Amino acid sequence: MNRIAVVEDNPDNRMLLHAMLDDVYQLEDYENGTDALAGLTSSPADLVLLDISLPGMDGLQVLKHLRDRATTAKLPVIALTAHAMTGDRERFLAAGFDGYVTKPIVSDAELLSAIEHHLARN
Amino acid sequence: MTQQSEIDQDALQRLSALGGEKLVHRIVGLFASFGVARVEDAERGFAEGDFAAVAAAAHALRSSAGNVGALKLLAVATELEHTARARRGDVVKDLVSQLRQCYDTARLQLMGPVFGGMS
Repeated sequence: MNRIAVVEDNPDNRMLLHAMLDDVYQLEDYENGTDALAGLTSSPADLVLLDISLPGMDGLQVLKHLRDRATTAKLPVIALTAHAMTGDRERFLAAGFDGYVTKPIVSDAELLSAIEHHLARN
Repeated sequence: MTQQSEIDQDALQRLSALGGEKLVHRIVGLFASFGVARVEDAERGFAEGDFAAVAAAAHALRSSAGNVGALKLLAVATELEHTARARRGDVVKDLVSQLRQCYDTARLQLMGPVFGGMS
């Protein structure tokens, strides 16, 4: 079973992701970027779902740290964001995210499809 | 006079389809506990002139409101986030007040049906 790191500070969003994904993947939760970077060092994942608006270090900063590390440089990372502003998708992809999913997530099929797509590419 | 519902029932039905009534209860319960803390964060942030804190609280409420289909709260939180980032204090003051009203209304409209009248 593939391991997915969920980096998300909102408990209801984490609960929803578990409801959508627990049957298919092994999820590891992190509430902030610092914990995620430490956890991903000791407990590698196959893919990361990374919230953009985290307390402290935001998702873009977490992504940069991941890309700077040899062990996580090529790890697929999908942005989770409630921003949904014009141009956000391009901005996040240009920053190095592999994919982009807007919140609230209304389709578990769409999320699963995005995850499978990036796992297969890796 | 019955107040018009501000809750998108499709959102609750999506939750139910995903995880049954148990998931609906848990998500609405989190909205009730986690959401009120974010409203208080926004009010405190405005009182202290901390627009970044107001924007962060509004942003957190956006996805929570979206999860439970609280559409009016979602709209107000979205506008509040943008105006707080722009540091438009006069507008932010009014929106923080609206945020509290919308949150209380949404909470009441969600808690009644989901928890059998508990609020």
